[in-house]
Amino acid sequence: MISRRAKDKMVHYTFFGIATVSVLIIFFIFIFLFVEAYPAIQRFGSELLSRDWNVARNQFGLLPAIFGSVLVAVGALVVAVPLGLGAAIYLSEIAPNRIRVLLKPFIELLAGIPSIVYGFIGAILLGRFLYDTFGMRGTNSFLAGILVLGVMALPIIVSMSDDSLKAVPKDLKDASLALGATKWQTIRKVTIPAAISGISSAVIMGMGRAIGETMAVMLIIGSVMRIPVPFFDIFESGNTLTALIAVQMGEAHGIIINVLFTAGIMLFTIVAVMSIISDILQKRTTDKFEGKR
Amino acid sequence: MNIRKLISLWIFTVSTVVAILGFWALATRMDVEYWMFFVALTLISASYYLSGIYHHMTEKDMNGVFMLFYASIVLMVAAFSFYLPEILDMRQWEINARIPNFFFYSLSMLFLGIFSSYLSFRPFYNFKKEGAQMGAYYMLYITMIFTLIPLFVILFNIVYRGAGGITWEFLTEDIISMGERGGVYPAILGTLALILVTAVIVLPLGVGTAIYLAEYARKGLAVRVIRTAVNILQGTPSIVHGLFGYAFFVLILFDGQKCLLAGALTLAILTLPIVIRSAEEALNAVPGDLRDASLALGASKWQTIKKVVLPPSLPGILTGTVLGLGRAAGETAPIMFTAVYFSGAGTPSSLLRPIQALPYHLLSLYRLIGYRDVDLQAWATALLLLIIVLGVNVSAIIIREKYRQRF
Amino acid sequence: MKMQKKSKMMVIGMIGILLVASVLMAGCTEDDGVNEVTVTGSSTNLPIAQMCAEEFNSEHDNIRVSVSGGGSGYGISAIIEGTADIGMSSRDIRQSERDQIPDLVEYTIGIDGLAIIVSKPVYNAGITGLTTQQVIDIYSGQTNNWNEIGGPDEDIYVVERAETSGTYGSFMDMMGLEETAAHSTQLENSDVRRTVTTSDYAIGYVGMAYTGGDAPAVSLDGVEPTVANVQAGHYSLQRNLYFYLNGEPTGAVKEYVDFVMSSRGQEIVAEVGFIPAH
Repeated sequence: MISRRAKDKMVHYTFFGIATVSVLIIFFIFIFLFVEAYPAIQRFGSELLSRDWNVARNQFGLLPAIFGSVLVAVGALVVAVPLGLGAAIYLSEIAPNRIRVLLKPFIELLAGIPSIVYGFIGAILLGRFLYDTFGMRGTNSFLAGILVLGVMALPIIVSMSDDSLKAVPKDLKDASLALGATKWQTIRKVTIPAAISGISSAVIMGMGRAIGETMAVMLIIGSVMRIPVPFFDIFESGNTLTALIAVQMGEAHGIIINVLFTAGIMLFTIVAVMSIISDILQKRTTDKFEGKR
Repeated sequence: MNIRKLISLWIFTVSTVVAILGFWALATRMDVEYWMFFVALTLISASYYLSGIYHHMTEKDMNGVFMLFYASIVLMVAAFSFYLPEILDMRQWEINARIPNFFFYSLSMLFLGIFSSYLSFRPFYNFKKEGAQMGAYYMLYITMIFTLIPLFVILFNIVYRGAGGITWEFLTEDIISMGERGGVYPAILGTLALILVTAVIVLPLGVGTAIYLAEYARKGLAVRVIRTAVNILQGTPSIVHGLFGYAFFVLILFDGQKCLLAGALTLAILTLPIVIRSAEEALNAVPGDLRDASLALGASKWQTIKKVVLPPSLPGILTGTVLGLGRAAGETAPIMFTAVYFSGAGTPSSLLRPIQALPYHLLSLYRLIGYRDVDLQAWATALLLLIIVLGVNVSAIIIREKYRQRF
Repeated sequence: MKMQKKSKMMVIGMIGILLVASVLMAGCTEDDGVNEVTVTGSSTNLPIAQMCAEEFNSEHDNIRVSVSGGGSGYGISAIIEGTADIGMSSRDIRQSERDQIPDLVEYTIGIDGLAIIVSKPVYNAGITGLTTQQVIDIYSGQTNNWNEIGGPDEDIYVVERAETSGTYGSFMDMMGLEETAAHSTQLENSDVRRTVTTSDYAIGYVGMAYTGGDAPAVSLDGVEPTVANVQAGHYSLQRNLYFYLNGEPTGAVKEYVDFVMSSRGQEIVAEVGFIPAH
């Protein structure tokens, strides 16, 4: 029989081992991405940020895809933030409990709908609808991508904003109400400012999802490596970094796979920056209220 | 009920009807004639004139003037829209759109309708602050409704169009004639196998790491770096996971063979951060007092974790894991180049063989629509995929609600 | 107390599931004597490989042929990387690719005409034939409106295939184009077809099997892309469809290739809308 102390030590080391493996895997992925991207960066350098893309001529300018990713994500936020915030405030502050317990899980469920399903529906139903409505030249467009991504980001924004609004301590609201403010004034002047870091973190997460989305975008955006002229012409088709990788991954040998890894690194960096900002914001919220509870 | 409230109620009713008509016209691309649009807006405008004049007669403050002002704006929009061309050809400004005038009509009916009904709360409460509050609440209801509409449209369409395709044959047969007949039996099994193998890989790894981070590790720089890395990995787009999985697992590890294990490993990496984070959250939710009490009674650290910390945090850990697996089940990008074939792979029989999976099956069928008669099968696949993924998520929520424990 | 019991049950359940799963996994790795044949690449060849595989699989219990698309480039690189047994391609293999495959074996499984398709409204408005020069002008962006070539006064929506596709390669080679002014890039033949049919003033190019119905093919320099014309060599845009292998096929792979090349296999080629190789 091993002594209790020895057993305790063993368990400790086992968990340490498991944690080390996980951490190693995670860092290995990061390093692997950079190593695979390096040949392309070394060979093409700043050309990777140009606007010319032509595989036959070995031109790999990723700018159109970067532009597309940003345009689509920003557009999705324009659609999703007003709606999502309104819905979150409704859910957390106004909705009677009966409706809240019904709607909240429902909205969380919708965050789980696979992106290929969104893409499928978007491509089949939305593309032709927008084509008819706006008299576009073809059924693929940034607009379709923006709308689909906006809808996909909605559940995340609603759910996370609702959580952070709910986390605002009741004392704060009560104090405001006791001073004679109406409920709406309290929401506007007390609850929302108190939850603002959580809400911004929700918005950033929604944007992260929009930028990282692949299948839905790939099916409706048209995959053309070109920046529209004028640049805000959302009725044109274009490309995003994710769709570029998904479409081009087929030609998976030679330098192009390194170029795709560079695109992956770009995505990864954008998402990393956003996730760090979101974390800091979230931590600020918890710090703000932890002492008061 | 005084006259002021009656007038406001009238405005609210008219505006809401106009908004609903506008929405309906927008959704069905109804050819709204100019006179319909003009009548609708004039009605709103007239109501506001009425309300403004009445308010001015009774209260004599600026609010009545404001209402008259708003009414004039609505009227002007209605009047000037007369000059809108039948089709606004934006291609003359190099924008790729030709927008018919009825689109503007229905859009402004929708927005002016909503805004007018929002404003009508002010006179109803005689411009007291309750009016502002009720107006704001009303707008929040509207955003909630507009949040739910696209989601209902999606669910309705999938169920409505897909339900007819789910037959016994669909559930128990392999693809016949490129998906025109037959079904998705191997794809269902493939997706289930993928989830199962992913779970076997990710559970010990994720939960073990979380236990170490939450129970053993000293809070310091190292733990913060690890946490940041986990968060970044969680936010990494799934296509990047797919790229990694293809370049590392398929090309290097499995010597070029797409297989179940390569797909499951890729999905395990995708779900690892979700499991770690939710497990850690669940462990941290157990109050420190409980641990101290157990240790004070002479229990060892491992006994404390096993008997005191793990049992109450288990539902949380499971919920997070199941949610992660639900996400994995629906992902296409990570398995597209690591594990799946459209057809022929058959029921999964080995870790080192390729499989068929529902998300990729949907993608492939989508690609064949128009060339082959696979519409019904595609919708049915979408429905089935939705049922499986949402089923997994529902079970996670049920676990959470059923075993929720508070301290 | 009750809570603890439930938790215990959950732990036992979880461990049980894991155990069952691991046993299943261990069982799975044992060889069950089924030979796997993987075929990947061009979506033009896909219907042939797929329909042949379905019939072949039903006749052979011990062989399973798996098929998926991805583009000719993907098919050829799959041979280079060894990710599949057979790479399908709808274009000739490039010298740079050939250099990487020492034991390249080539099977011509069929012949395809590359058809130019237009949207129904364009076809009905009288654009039933184009010249090669007109197609080049459209794809290079010099012709932007259908009325410049006698059609309706509408902008042309130009649809092309992704660079990974063999159809793209063949088309660009045959037209002598290096880059296009396309408005939409699609991954597969059927994607091009759907994009063209759902738009009203679009043009695209697909393998012959993908034409018809809502996607009428126009004649090129006066020659219709029909089976007879391609067989006789009158239609200028035609290419071979290949199976590429790294080394002479053996065993199950050979059986499958033989089936595709057999008279029954070539019947299937004709059934799905292509021209048999022999």
